[in-house]
Amino acid sequence: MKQLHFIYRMHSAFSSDIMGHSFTLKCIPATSEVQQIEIIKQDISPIEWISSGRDSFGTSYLYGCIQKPHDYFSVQIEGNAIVDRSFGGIRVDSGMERYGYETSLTKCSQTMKCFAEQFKKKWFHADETISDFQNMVFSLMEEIFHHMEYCPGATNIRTTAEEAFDEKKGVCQDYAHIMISLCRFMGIPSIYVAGYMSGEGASHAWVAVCDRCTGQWYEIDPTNDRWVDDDYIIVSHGLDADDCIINKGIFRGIASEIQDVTVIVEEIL
Amino acid sequence: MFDLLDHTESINRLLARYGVKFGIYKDGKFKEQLFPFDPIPRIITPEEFEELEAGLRQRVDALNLFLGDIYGDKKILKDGIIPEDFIFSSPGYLKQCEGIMPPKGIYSHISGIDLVQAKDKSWYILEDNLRVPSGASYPMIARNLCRRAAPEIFRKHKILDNRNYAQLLKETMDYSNTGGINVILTPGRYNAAYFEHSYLAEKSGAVLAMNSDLVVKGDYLYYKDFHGKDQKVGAVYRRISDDYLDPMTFREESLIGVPHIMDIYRKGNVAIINAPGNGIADDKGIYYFVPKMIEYYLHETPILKNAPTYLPFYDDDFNYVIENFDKLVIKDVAEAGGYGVVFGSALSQEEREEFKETVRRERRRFIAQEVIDFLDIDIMDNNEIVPRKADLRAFVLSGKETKIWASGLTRFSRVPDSFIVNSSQGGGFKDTWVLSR
Repeated sequence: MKQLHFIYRMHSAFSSDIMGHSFTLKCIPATSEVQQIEIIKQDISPIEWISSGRDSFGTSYLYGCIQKPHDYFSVQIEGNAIVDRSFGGIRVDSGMERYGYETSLTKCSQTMKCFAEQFKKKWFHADETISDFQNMVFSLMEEIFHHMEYCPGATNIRTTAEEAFDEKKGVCQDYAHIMISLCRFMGIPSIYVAGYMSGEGASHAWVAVCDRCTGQWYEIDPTNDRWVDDDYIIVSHGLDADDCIINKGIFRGIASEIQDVTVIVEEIL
Repeated sequence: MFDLLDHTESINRLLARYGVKFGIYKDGKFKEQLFPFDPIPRIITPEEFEELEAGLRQRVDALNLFLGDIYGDKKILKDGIIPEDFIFSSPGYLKQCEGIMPPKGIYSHISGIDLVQAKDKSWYILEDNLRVPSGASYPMIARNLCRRAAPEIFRKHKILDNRNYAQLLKETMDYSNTGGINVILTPGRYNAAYFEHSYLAEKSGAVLAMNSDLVVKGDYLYYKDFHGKDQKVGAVYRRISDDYLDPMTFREESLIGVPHIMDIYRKGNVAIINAPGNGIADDKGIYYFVPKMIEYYLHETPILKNAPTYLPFYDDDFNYVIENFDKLVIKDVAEAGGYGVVFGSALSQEEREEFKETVRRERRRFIAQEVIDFLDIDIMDNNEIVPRKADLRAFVLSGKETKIWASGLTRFSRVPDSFIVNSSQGGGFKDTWVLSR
C-alpha cells in the first residue's frame, strides 16, 4: 500500500482566439478496488458549463463547452491516492469478451504474427495451454521492451501498433498497443490502461492481461520493463488509447496550439 | 389495379413539383434525381397482410430484445446461440454503446424490413434495416397525389389508408421522448433523402433541425428557436449515421453532428431515434441468426422465413457454398445499398475460382444465399406493361406497441431480370395497397 500525492497540469495556448470549444477530460482518477482517491483541487478555465459522465468502460469524465472566444485552456487536478494492489489489480467483472478482439490501433500485422508465433513456441503447449502464465507474460513484455527504443516524438496518438512495431520506436502508448495486439492474437484478453506513475513527467499507459484459466488480471508496464505496483494510479481504461484520450477537444478557429502537460506523483511519507 | 394508368403523367409531374427527389453521388458529383413512380400499385390482400403483420412484429420485437441483450448482459452469447466473434469483430458493434439502456428500452424505433415474394407467393425476409431506414415518405406522398388525381379509385377499392404514417411516427417519438420537443435532425439539403426529412417533419409536427440549431448544455439538449430561445429536446429522430452523430464520441471530423449528444444520451436525458449501435443487428452476418433470436427471446416459431442462407464461417456451410457456388448469391457483409452482391452464375470460370479463394481466406466476411425466384410484378415501361423484379420495404414502428404500417415502399428494377432494386441504382417505386376486409 502506498499513499501518493498527484498533480495533473495541462495548459494549452492558442495562437489566436478559438470558439465553440467542446472538450472531454479523462484525467481524474476515481476510487476503485485498487485505489482510494481524494480530489483536493479541480481548476478548469475558462469555463461556461461543465458536467460529468461515465463512459462505457466505467471511466468517469468531465465534459463541457466554451462558446465564447478564448485563447487558452487550462486544467489542474490535484489529489491524494491510497493505492493498494495486494488484493489484485484492475478488475473487469463483465464484458471481458470484448478485450479479446483487435481494434484499428491494435491490429496485428503479419510481421507481428510471426513474432508471436515464434514466442508461442517457447511458452505454449501443443494444445494452446500455458503452464506458467505470469512468467510467460513477463517474458513477452521483456521481448517487446528489447525490441523497442523509447523515443518521444517518433510517433503520435494515431500511430498503430503495426507502425510502431515496424519502426521499433515509440512511447508508452505504442509499447502498450504492441503488447495488447500480440496478446490478443495469442488469445489473451488485454486492456489498455492510462494513468499516472510515480515521478515527474507526462501521463503514462500500461497493459492489463487476463489469465483465462483463473480469470485473474495482471497489470504490466512494457515501457519500464516491470510489473505494475502501487506506484501506479489508474485514470481510465479501454480497448486502446482511443478510449483513454486525456483531453479530447474540437473547436472552431484558425489557430495553432501549444500544449504543456505536467504530471507529478510523489509518495507521502 | 390499372385504374391509375391514365394519370401516370400528371402524378409524376406533381411529384416533381413537390420535389420528391433523392440525391446520389456519382463520380464525386451530387445529382438530384426524380424517383420514378409507377402507377400500377402492388396489392396485398388482407390475409397476406395479417401474416406479414404478425411476422414483422415478431421479428422486430426479437431484434429489439437482441440489441438490449448485446449491449447489456449478452446472454445469447453465453448460451452459445451466436458465436461472440460475430459481435465483437463486426463494425456494427459500437463499444461506445456498451451498457446503455435507451429510453423505454427501445433501440429500433423505425425498422425497414425488406421482403420479397417468391413465385409460390410466400414471403422471404431479405434484410433488416435498423439504422434510420428511409423511404416511407415516397408512398405517403404518392398516395396523396393519386387520391387527388383520381379520388374515385379510392372510393371504389377498399384500400387501407396509409396517410397515418406521420401519426405513427409521432406516437413513436412521443413514447420514447424524455421530456421536450421532437426534432428531426438532417445533415441538410444535399443529403440523399432530404425530401423525406422535411416532409416527415412537416407531417409529424417535429422540428426540422440542422446540427447548428442544436446544442448540449450541461445534461440536456436544446433547440435554438427563431427567437434565440432554448427549447429542451426530448427526442431526436436523427437522419445521420452513428459515425457522424457526435464528434466527441465518434468521428472527430464530423461537421454534421452534435457534440456531447452521446454524453447526455448515456444518462437517459434524450431519446435518439434509432439508437446508436443498431448496426450490430442488421449486419448481414447476424441476419442468419434472426430466426434463432425469435426462438431464443420469444420462444416462438418464426412466422416469416429468411432466404436460405449459409455462413461460410461454419465448415458445413463453407463446403456447401464452394460446391454450389454457381447457383448462389454471395454478399459482402460490410456493404449496403446493393453493392457487394455477386451472383455466382454471373461470373466467368476464372472469376469464380478467384472469388472462392477470397471466401476461403475471409470466411467471416461473406454470406451466401439461394437465389429466390421472385414473383415478377407488372410495371409500365414506355406504354407497355412488362414484368419486373420488385421488393417491399415494410415499416415497423416500435413505441408502446409494435405497429406495422399498412403500406410500404415497393421498389422495382427497370432492367429486365435484374434483382437489384435499390433506388441508388436507378430503380423506381410503386404505391403499396393493403386491402381491407
